[in-house]
Amino acid sequence: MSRNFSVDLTLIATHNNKNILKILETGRKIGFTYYDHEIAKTYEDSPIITPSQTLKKILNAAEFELEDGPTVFINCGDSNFGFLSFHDDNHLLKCSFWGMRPIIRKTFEENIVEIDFEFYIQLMLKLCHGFAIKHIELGEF
Amino acid sequence: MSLGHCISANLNLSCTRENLHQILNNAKKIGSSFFLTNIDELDPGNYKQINMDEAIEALYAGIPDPDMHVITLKHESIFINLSAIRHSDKTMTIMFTNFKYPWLLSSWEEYKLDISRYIKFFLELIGNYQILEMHIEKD
Repeated sequence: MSRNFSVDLTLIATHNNKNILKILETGRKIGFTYYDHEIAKTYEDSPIITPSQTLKKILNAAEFELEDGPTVFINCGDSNFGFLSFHDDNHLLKCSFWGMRPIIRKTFEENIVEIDFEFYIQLMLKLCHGFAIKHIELGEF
Repeated sequence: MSLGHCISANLNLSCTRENLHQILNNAKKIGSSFFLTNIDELDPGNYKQINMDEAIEALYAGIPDPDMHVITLKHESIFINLSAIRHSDKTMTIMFTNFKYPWLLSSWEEYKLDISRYIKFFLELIGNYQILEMHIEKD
């Protein structure tokens, strides 16, 4: 069974279109690509969309309460894929990165090879640059 | 001014002198200096500066509290307390508390800590050790 991980940042910022778009645009500047995934297509073959189109996709997903929720499939860097989602956490904006593939790993003490959470934390800090942070959470599910 | 924030990380790392040395050495390499925490003194600038070996012993031996070994780091303009807590033979938590003369987000009208900058500093100290969990709390 494959392992799944997540990194969540709760920001001291309102969950609104302006703030989500700001994050999506920052993501574009640091090399994120957003995909308009449709059912029965592979994620990577889905059309690439702009930050504004991504925002609309997220809003539609939220409006119709789709199973995937307000989530978008992204590529960051050369070959790192994952999902980005935005939730309303007690009126604060919570930004989550999850389902990373392949998982960036590192060799730690005693030759333990495990997920490199530092890489993903740094990535999320870049993505949410300029926002005040309330909470960070690392998860495995 | 002190704010009731806490940044902590659980590490897959034994709480040994050798490993504490590595964490403090990571801090030293980026310009941090070490002070003996004195809870009776309001201004950390008046704390007694200590060297690396003394800082390791202060963290390891439990000054002032054997359950939470605290020293104070000075980095650039900020002071922050660093604690180490042993969980098991293999795991420990390191923690930042008592943010003084803090880094702030300058673009905000409200008074907000630049937590992102603190996390980056925290990651510098952790270096290549494996992070199991990370938390931010506010009193």
